[in-house]
Amino acid sequence: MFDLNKALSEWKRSLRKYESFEEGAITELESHLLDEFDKQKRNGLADEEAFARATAAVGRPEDVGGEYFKDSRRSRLTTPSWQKSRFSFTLPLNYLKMAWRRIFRHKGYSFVSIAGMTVGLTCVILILTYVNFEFGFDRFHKKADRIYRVISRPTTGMWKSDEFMSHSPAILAAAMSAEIPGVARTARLMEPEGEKAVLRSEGKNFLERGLYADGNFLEIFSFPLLRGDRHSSLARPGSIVLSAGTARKLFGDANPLGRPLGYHEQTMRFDLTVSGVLADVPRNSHLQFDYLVSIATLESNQETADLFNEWDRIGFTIFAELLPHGRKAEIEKKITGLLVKNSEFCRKFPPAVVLQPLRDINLRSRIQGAQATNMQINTVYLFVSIALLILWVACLNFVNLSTARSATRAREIGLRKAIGASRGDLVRQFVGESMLISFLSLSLAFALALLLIERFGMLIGTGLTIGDLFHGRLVLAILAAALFSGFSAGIYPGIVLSGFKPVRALQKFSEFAGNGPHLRRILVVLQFSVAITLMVGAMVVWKQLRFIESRKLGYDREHVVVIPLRDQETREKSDIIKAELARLHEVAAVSVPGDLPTGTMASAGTHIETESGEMAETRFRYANIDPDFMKLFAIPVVQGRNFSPGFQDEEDGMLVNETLVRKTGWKNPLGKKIMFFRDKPYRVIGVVKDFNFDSLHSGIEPAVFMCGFRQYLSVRIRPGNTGHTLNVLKAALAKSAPSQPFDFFFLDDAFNELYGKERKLGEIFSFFAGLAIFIACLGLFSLAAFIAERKTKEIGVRKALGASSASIVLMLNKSFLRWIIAANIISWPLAYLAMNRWLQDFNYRISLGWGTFLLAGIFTLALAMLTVSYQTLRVALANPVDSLRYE
Amino acid sequence: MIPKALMAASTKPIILTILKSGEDYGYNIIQRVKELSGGTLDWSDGMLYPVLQRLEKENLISSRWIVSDEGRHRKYYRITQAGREALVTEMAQWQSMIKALDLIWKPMLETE
Repeated sequence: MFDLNKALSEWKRSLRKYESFEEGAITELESHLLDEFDKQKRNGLADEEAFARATAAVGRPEDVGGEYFKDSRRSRLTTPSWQKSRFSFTLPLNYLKMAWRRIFRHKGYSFVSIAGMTVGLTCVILILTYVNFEFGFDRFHKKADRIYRVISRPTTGMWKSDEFMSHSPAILAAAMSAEIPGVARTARLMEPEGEKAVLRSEGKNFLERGLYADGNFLEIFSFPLLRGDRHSSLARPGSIVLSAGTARKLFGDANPLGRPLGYHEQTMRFDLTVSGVLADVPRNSHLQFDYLVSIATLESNQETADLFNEWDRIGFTIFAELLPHGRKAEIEKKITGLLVKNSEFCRKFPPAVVLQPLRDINLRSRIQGAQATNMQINTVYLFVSIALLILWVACLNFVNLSTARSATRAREIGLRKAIGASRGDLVRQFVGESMLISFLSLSLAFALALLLIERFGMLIGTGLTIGDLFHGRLVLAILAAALFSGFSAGIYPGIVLSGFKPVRALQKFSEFAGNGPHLRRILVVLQFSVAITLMVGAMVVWKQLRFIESRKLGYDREHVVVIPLRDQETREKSDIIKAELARLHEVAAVSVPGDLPTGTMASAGTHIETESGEMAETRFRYANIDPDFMKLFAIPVVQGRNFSPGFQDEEDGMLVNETLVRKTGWKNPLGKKIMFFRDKPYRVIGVVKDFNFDSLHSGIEPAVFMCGFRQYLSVRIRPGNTGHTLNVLKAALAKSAPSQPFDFFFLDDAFNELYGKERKLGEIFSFFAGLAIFIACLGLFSLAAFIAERKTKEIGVRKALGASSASIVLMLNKSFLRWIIAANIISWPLAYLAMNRWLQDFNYRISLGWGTFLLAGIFTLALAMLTVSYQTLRVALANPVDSLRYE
Repeated sequence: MIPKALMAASTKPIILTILKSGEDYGYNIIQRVKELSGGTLDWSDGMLYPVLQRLEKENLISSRWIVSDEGRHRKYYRITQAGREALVTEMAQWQSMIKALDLIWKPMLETE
């Protein structure tokens, strides 16, 4: 029998489930329902049917409640509690709390995950800071996007080259400004010979690095000017603008403006007046200098005035500021036109001219000439790839541990699912956990980066500072990296673990072990593949460096001190200085060549007499030496003779190397004619044994040696007390050449500098290979702990049945051993391909034998076994009684 | 069938129009809507009340409780001055909309 009152109160109860129904609304709806009920009854329906129709007419409580809720809610984002929420703040908070508790409950695993991630993120922070620094080069100039450097290369004939050079004739700059629309202004720059010059103030000499710069220079570039006028500071002859540091060094805190300054460079001496002070040049400027001398000073000097009028005299770097509408390609064409029209050389060997954007100079230039930084973008990409690889290895660690430990979480997951958690909820929970780990690691990584940044800067040779870490763009990139790694490390375990069937997970939770051992195997193999590849890379780089260092170069570079002679006066006295130094007991030999065998020899192309007596155009390297050069460097003369005072051949004689003889096909080289920038030919007086005068990247080229320009006072000292010998040299030099600062270097260091890039690469490879191995071992260690723990019972049974501890260790280690062997098999060909390609850059290189790979393999195997054995030994040695009681 | 969004947009002017002719309570309002629209506007009864609550909050209508002869508590709604003004605006808006649609469709209807 239908009871209206009961049905009504049940209906009202169904309304009260929804909090948005106020009592007033329920009363109103009840009245409505009864009115409708009466109507249905009047239509002849029975009570029950009439009530059903009436409730249907009023509508479903959740729908009506939802409508009421729209009016009562505070924010448009909230949804009624009975509807699926779009976002609920309480749930993530709960996840966060749970994740926090898990971190503390499983300290060991948390440590491994956080340590791995911290190391990975530290690498990312350090490398991104470096990348940001490199990309930020020269961008502080206000007009950076409109400033270009003129670079060119001959495209035909014997001078044809793939490498651009930044040397242009001075006269081109004025022609560009006057004749090419689209060019706003130009500025010429020139480096003093040997980069440095002597600044003399109040009787003291300072050796500083500087540039000759045009009056427009400070208008094009925005180096901050602290004193003086941007438009006129470099306009007049005899003006010098100092950097703040140099000004302080020379004049202390006094105002340097208007102060006189002596300037001494090679043959030139100028009396200059300080006309401005610049802030110290930022580290991320490719132009580095301590002072700027107005180029007008050179222009008004008789000795150098010619440089400014002739189209075939190159040696200036020209920067052009284009107008905003200036079309680069058209301007390049017009510059080529100007050169071909005016320069005889360019008519003969038409050049390709390019306007190189200022912002590209640091990372994308591969040029010869002044201010060439030649840091290749590829190195930056290499660093970024390494950082990403390390981060990836760290993320794999996390994924691996999470899935491996899923067994212990099966019950939690089952329970959450049973009480209504959706798969999405669980995925969010796991991603949240890995995010927490990732951001905890990020804060640790940031602290580590603060500690390491300067050391890292030294390692890669850029002088990074803590300040470089705080750049908006960089911080965003680092946060993105942390977010990305947190997300990618959490999403996979989340998807896998949330796929558990709740009933099975609750019943047999101990059977669960994530996605099975396959995945873990693959992840460990991948981790170790990365680590081994990096390790082989590091080993090959070091081996090649050792090979270079130990290779016989054909000359003796040991114990040679080189003092670059800074002025003409000293150079003219070089024979006297030489004789005085040679008398010293500490000195074995002295020579004053114009070039050194460490990559300073230039290239030239002129006519050489062939075997048949004709003159043929040939290109070769040339060096200015003195008669003692071959003796000093112990280079044997294999045919003919060395320069000798008795024969007057310092004027007309030339020595050649064996390669030149071979390439020209001379049967009897002695007496052969060589034209070299003068009408009277030189004659070959001797042939010297081949020696390497460049880095071992390139082979030995044909070369000639003549007596001429003198620059490097080179002294072979007797081995022993170097400090004392240097003091003796300093005293002797101060006596015979007082204007010469005692600024020296060891030839060995200059030689090593030729391989600075490779050395850096070796250090970086070693550093990152070490980190990758550390993270991979960390993961392996905890994985081994986990597997050992899970097999405790099995081991107990085996031991109870008579298995020895050794056989159990072997059994457990065997699987790990297989993984590492697989990693070696994967990484060897990769490392071989990469390093073989790298070695192609050297003319003299090691061959990639099995040794390096085997060594890397054995090392990783040993390290992995050491890592794993600690855990396996622990369980294998345990008493089976304890093991069996374990669960 | 009239889509939900259009139906929701029309509730305000319809309710205000009905209440303009006098004070009334929910059940009757629904009946009058059905009657006046010839059954075209088939509202779900329960949905009317949240709309009445909203209009009251917006001060366009006011209400009072009255106990009927059958002893039922009924909430009676009446239009306010603001409601009357809102109705004038609503009517103008709907009429211009209808006019605009007429103008747009007229050529099409003629060719058909």
